[in-house]
Amino acid sequence: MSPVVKVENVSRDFRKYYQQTFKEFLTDRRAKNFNKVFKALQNISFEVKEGSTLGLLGRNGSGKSTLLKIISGVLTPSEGQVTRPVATAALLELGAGFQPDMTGRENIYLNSSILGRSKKDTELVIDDIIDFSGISEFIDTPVKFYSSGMYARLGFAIAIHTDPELLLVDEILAVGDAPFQKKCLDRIKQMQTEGRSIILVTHDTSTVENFCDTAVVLDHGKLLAQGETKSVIAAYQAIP
Amino acid sequence: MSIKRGPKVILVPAGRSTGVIKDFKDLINSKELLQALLNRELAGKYKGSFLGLGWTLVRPLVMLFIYAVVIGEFLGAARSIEQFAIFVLVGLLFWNLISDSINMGAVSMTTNGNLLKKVWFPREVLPLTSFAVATVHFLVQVLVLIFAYLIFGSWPNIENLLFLIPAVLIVFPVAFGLSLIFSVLNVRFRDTQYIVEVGLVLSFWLSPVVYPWTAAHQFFATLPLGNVIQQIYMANPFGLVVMAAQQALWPPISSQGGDAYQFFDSPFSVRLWISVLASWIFLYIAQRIFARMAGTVVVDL
Repeated sequence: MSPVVKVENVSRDFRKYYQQTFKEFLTDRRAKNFNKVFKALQNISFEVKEGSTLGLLGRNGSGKSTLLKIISGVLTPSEGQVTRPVATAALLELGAGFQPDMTGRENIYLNSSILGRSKKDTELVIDDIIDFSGISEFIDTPVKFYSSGMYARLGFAIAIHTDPELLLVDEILAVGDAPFQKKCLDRIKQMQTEGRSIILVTHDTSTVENFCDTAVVLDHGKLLAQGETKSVIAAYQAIP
Repeated sequence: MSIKRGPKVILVPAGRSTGVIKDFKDLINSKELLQALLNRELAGKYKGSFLGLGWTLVRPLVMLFIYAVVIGEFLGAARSIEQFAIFVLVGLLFWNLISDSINMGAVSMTTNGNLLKKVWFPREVLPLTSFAVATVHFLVQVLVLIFAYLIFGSWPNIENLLFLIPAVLIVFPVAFGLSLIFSVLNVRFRDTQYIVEVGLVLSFWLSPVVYPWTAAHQFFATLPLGNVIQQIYMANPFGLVVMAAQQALWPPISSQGGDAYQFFDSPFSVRLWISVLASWIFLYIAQRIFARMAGTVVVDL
């Protein structure tokens, strides 16, 4: 099968000292700190096969989230390129772009359009979204009155209803209470059986065992191992 | 396997853009997002206010009142310019479109930082939304103009309305293009938005909104190198837009028909169309600069 996502030789640098005012730009062109570079990702390449789930393992600061942001398109790579479906839903920042003064229902339309869905398509699934979020009682309340849990639940419900080919998930288990978490996991499993591809970022090896077909380990921005989940988990656990 | 395979995007390093045509297609595909952001801006801005969108009318009406009374009557401009209120109104209408869209556009990336850091979409949508919001305000303000025609009982010549075509074809690329450049610059250097504000005030007075262009020309003629200064003055795209709008919508010139603005050796409309061409070339360059910078500035937000 052809790959859904192709990550080719991706590197990403960050300047260590980046905050620079206009005055500094004009006067300190050769400021010492300006060109110190931090290599967050170095030459990463892997593929995700159609309909499979890839686990992205790594300790804090290994570059997992940077890589996920590059795949989602929020960050550009410094080198290399990423090919991915347009229909990609990122469960990274749930409720990003919610407008506090607008109601939950209005925000569903707004957020769906940010995620690339037309109004018509959203109308077809809006009842499912409201139902899944479990906050139908407050759907016509401005979201500024929502609790952080309600916020995340609505965000999650919108993201998974965008009919994505690829789903990017960062630490899914952090959403809502236990019953809602279970609902999310069930939903993600269902999406797997529907043939959608998933990239799952985690530092929990049991999640990788339970969910993923293949896995990748990052360590200090380098790709340490990739392939079958078992061998990759072993490599991850071997990191000192 | 029930999932349909859609198109793919290729994400490349900033500065190695995939080309203006690809970017344009991405932008077209985002029209739903544009619509939603426009609704958000319009609904959000006046949420909880009694007059709502009516507030867009208040500022131009107050400005109109001030210019018509202070400059028109106190300083006596109304004695030399027929229907001075309409003259000012026409200029203000287009000027507000220009300055609102650029002022909003300049901050469009910085105010939507949370969106940019979290979701991918063609970044051009944000400055374009600013232009769309300004356009809606513009259309609301057209009502004031129509009201003024009713009061004065004089209407522009239909034929002269054709001058609105080059006016619009200059306003859009210049205002949108400048918004593109200023919006990314403002992420890097927050000074940009203040420089833009000051620059717009300056270009307001460099455009013949509250005075006739001939007044400026007569003054320039008294200076050394007057011809050159006159030419520079006429190269200001905002000035040309305002003049084209007056030509189209201000009954005293409009009803005379033809190029009342004709001067030097080139008729006004030739000048306009050259400016149209330059404006679209400018927009192309602005988009290239934007595409180069937009990917790298996100980390600065």
